[in-house]
Amino acid sequence: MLNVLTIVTRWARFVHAGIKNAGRQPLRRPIHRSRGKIFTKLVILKIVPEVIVIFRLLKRIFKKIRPERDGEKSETPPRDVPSNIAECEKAMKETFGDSADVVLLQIETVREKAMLVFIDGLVNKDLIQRDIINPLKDHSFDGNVTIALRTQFKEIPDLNAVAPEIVNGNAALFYEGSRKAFVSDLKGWAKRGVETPLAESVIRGPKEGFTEDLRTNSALIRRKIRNPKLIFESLTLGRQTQTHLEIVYVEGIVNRDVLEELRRRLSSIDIDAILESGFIEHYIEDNIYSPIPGIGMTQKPDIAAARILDGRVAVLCDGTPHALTIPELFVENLQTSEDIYNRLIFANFTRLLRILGLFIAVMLPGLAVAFITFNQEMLPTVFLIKLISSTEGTPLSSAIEAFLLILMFELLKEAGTRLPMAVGSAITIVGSLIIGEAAVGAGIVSAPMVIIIALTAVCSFIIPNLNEFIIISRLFFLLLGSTLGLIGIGAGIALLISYLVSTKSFGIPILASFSAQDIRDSIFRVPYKYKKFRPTAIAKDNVRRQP
Amino acid sequence: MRRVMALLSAAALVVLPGCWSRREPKNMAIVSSILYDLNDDKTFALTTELMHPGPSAGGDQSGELPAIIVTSNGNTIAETLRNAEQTIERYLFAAHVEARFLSEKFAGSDQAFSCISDFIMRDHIATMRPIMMVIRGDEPEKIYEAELEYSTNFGSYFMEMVKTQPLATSKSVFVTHFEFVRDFYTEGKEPVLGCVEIVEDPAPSPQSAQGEGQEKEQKKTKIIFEGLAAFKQGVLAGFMNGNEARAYNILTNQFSSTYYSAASNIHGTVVQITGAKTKIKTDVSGELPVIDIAVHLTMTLVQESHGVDINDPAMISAIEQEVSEDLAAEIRGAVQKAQQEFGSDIFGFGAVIHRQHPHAWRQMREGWADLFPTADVRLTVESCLERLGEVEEPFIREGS
Repeated sequence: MLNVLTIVTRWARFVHAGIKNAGRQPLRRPIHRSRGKIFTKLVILKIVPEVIVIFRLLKRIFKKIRPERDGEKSETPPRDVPSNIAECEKAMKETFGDSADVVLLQIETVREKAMLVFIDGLVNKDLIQRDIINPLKDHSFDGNVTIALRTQFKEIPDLNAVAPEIVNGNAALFYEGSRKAFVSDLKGWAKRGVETPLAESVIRGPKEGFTEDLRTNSALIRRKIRNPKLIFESLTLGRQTQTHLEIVYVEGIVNRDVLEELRRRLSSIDIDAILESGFIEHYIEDNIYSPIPGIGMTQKPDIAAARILDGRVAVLCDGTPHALTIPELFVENLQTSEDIYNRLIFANFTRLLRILGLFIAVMLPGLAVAFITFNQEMLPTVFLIKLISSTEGTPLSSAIEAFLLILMFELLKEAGTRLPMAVGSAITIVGSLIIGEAAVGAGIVSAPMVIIIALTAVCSFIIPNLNEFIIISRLFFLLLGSTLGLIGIGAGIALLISYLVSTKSFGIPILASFSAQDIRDSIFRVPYKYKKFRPTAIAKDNVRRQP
Repeated sequence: MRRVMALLSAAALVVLPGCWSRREPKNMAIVSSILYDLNDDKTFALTTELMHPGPSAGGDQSGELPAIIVTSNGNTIAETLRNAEQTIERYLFAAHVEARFLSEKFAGSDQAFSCISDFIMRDHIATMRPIMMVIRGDEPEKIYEAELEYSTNFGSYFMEMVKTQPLATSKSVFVTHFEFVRDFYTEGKEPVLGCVEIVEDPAPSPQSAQGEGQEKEQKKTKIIFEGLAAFKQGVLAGFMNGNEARAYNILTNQFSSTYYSAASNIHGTVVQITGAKTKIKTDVSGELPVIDIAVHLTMTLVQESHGVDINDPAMISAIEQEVSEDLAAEIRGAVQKAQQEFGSDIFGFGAVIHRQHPHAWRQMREGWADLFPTADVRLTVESCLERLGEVEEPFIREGS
């Protein structure tokens, strides 16, 4: 701060003296140069460095203003469970307020009073009736709760520790004079069954998908990898939501560095709500401003299992069917599970097709505009003639046409995704048939440009994971192609490649899978027989898959 | 700061070397062929043919319209082109030129080669790809009035013609501007160009009324692609007729296919010459260079209506003999014409000597133009009838 003040005062004094001295002799030394020259020199020597200094200071100041973490996470001191049931009830009511879904069930037994606390909808009431209430109500009940309960339980003497258990779906039993709570796991709530995910549909291969329930998801993975070394590491995040997460990996195959880094990044998250894995994704990504996804995502247990066996780490999040896989290499977007299940030649063909589709989706509009408006000599004559005859009389230039059509396509797509299926088809008809056909017919846009954008749109559906990247880089190439022609496209390719090469996901370069060793499963898919190693970019120990 | 500078310089690198001449195709006039002519006062006269793609908006495929012909005059090629642009509301775009025509007058003047070649080689849009042709006769601009059969403009007519002509007759040559320049600079080879003749259509076919009663304009001239124009030092030396051009094609190994009937039996035996292979050997030990040419032809019988037994090997060799002798005479005639009449080594015998006897060539190089007419050319032609067609017996009515 002091530094800024001195600069400002010095500067003000200097300017003030200059104004006062206007028209008289110069202040410091006799200058025979023109005022313009002095001014330029002043700007270069004085103002520019000082502006830089001021900016640096401002940066430092703003860094300091960043809020400190408040100590909400600090532990509350333990509190004994009162021996009196009435007091227990009072304490519970204090904790939960008068929440409608919390059930405080008073149970009269042949001996002392008891109270059962659980949350309606999170527990299996039949089991509670059978295993807790019935034994206590029994005539033969002798006051020994530990023997009477017909279910597994844990005894918790700390009253403050009971509430989180109840919230998690456990039932807590208080018994007069016992001074502890018997917490038993009788969870049972409504959940969606294991269904086929809509997004990653396959013709061949398992059709089951993750659900919103973490335990179901972990079981789905465990059923694929029946290895005791498959570890589910549990942690809870979200101050309000207390969401359960699980880090999944196979001990001995996993890349230790990635695992450590993931743990470090997860532990730095301090947020009040995690409702979906997207929340954590934003926190643990390498670069949130990058258009390329730094973290993989899947809804299918077979894909998750395959990635875990490659040495990756998966993160399951309670409440969402989307599992995260880390690290995400670029090539994963070009692979599908069917590449492995299908026959070799066809699988390779479809993979090449997908790579071609990526190129078309990214570059075609830019390339087309570059050819049409800059390098017509490279088009065949007949094609150029057709092009001219169809653009004749259209009011817009080719580049603007391309921009508008891309925009229109994105609008249609956005309209289509949010709508239910039945109405979605209406959008398609209006968009493709009416707008497209009518616009060409009325001579507002040229037919070749509609064809080009339509082809691009089709190709961008081939690789749905890279959708954001494709749209952004497509606009980038279109801008370059329409201002600089083929030279712009060339420069764009150079920039894009250097960007991709320098991008990393959890310390692993995302293009690492195009190395000589890993190319077996990136551009091509070799027979599984010859794929002897896990991706060397990811797996560091236990690299060999088969002898 | 350093990062910003790096970004700025990267952006400058991207932006500054770019080609900034953005043109919308709808504002371009595509030149499909150009005719270079010389006026009587030695100024240039250019006839430019511009393609006219009809608008297809509205869904109807109206197709291409007849080409637009623009004529202009000027003291230099560049000026003439600018003069042409004065009257057209679009850019002239010359990267898709299919043909460059030279009038006989233009090809015969010593300016011809240097003027257009230099201008075109310097230009960044025009290419050396188009085919150059000499138009025989005094009214070269009539080529744009000729009947175009299937095509609506001359450019596309020519494009198709180039593909089909060599296969049909082999009596014409199609030389691109680049090949012309290459031959011009090659030691011991003089360039040739294809040549076009405009002839009156002897019997203009009665044009049936087209579609909606629009009668197509009656055209009375036709274009014939036959023969070649021989050059000497970049100046037109003379023309060869179709048969001589065929000999040229055979000697330079550019022959593709032709029908041929030996002179003595016009209505009887016709063969299709399907391939020709020429080997040239030179000998410079004597006083005059000796050029040994061995031509090997492969043929298919396409017609034999004399009723002779073609299963007889003697008959086959008789046919072969006849064709060989006739063609040898034809080739010899062409070589003599080049030697005596033009004095221009269009067959590239000098280049063969250069290849086979580089030391001897060093002495000959300067005087080759004088030496070539005196060179002793020895020719052997042998032919081989490979196929007899689908039937063995001639089609003869019983008893005739």
